[in-house]
Amino acid sequence: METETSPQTAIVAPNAAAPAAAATAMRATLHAIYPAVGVAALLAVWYATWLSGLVSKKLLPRPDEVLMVFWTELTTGTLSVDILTSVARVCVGVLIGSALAVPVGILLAWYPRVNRMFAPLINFFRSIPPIALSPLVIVYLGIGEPARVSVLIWASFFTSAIVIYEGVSAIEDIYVRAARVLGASDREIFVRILIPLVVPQLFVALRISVGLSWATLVAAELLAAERGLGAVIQNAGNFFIIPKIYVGIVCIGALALLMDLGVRHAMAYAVQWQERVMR
Amino acid sequence: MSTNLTGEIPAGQGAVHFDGVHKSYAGRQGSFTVFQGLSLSIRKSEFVSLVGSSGCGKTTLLNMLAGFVQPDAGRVLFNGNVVHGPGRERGMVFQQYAVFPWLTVRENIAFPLRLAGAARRSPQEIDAIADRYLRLVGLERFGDALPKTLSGGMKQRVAIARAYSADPEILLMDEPFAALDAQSRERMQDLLLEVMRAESRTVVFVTHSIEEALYLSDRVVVLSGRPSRVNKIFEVPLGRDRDKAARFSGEMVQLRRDIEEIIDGSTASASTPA
Repeated sequence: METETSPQTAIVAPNAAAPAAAATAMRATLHAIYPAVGVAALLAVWYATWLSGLVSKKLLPRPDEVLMVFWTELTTGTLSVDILTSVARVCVGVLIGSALAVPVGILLAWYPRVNRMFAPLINFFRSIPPIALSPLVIVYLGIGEPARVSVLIWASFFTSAIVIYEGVSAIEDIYVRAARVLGASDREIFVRILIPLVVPQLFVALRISVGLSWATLVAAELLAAERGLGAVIQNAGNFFIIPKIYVGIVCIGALALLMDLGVRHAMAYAVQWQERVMR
Repeated sequence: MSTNLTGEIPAGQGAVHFDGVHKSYAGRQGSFTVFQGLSLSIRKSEFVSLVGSSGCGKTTLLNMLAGFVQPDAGRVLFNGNVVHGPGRERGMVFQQYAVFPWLTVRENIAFPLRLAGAARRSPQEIDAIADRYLRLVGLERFGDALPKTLSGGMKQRVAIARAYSADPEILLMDEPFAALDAQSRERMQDLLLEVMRAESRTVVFVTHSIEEALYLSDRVVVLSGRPSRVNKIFEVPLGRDRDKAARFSGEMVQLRRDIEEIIDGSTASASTPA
């Protein structure tokens, strides 16, 4: 995401603004071209596989067939409802999971005793694949919306807690010391030093949670979901409608990509002060 | 030109008294004693530099005075009171600048003014104070800039202005210019002299550069030995209105040679097996 950093270059060299702007536009074009080349390569391999007959043509739809099914499902079917349902579930799961993780991560980093008591537990629960919890979720929460969202909260919470914990632990003591000699109290150090420094970590946690939640979505929608992209894939699988399975898969990947892009842009905006905004 | 070894000052007149300070650190090869009963006094409004070889405890002394490190035995007194922890009356400037990157230059300088411990001030008053210190360090055009757009020297100017806006009685400077290139370093030294002429404070300045210490200070304290002690204190025979020419005067060159001799001599004898 070099395009995000180029405005900074312009600030550093205000006199060279005009050539810099041209260079920025040039770079922006290049950066739009690179991902397109990647997608084109994938499509080429897909078509080549289809043409080669390595996989039976009945079992492997062409990309254009998938696109057609996508379009008909979107315009005449219920795909838009499925997309919105899944996006809503991911958003709710990520927001609740990450929000709960912020105080937990800070506590773990700030108090060594709390850390020694609970860090192993966090790592224990983090390693459990959410899909393995599905049967228990059904037992305790039933098969409604809370059951499905709880799986996504689970996925977001433990990962975010670790990321925020690592971030707070890595906060340089020098800022805390500087604030202390300027007369800041413990509370003021928390509010004025710790919180601003946690914000970038929160965005990292959000990015990871979004990715993980989309990856977990199908597991969540195994819980008797009628709507959602996970449900689309399962139903299509049950009825052996292979192009529709591909539609579900491509939608999940594309939406995850879009949401990641959104989080990264929000991050670039919120933490402009960082020396290096994008990785 | 040198005074007596501990720089004795009649009680009550000094701003800072290190009074028989002991300090050891637990290392991998047993404990390591930095100070065994070190005493040193610094007068009010004096600019004192601490020099000595690496590991002689210059920074430890500064951290004790700041309140970040407690002595094992002995006392550190500031204005007659024992130092227990950090406080806004003792400002500090760090080698790593420690400018808050999420705040603009102006917000950094206003930071101490907005804390609960500071005197109640209207936003206009806070702005006026920030303006004053922005001007003092020559950053009036960069008030709204973020630290990431500034050079090292400019960041350190922000740190100095921020330390000043907390209105401390003493400034503790821990190798503040060590990370700068030679040119910025000299420019910052002149800026610091200028700032001191405008608003004088007691300063304890830690540096590796003897030339820097002589150029800036009223007195230079040379630490040496293991455990470290005050080997000698040099009075610098220059007024506050010193300029670049002073760096190269024969007197200063001789002083520099004398101090280097002490430091080199002590490291040579320290590394010789007993």
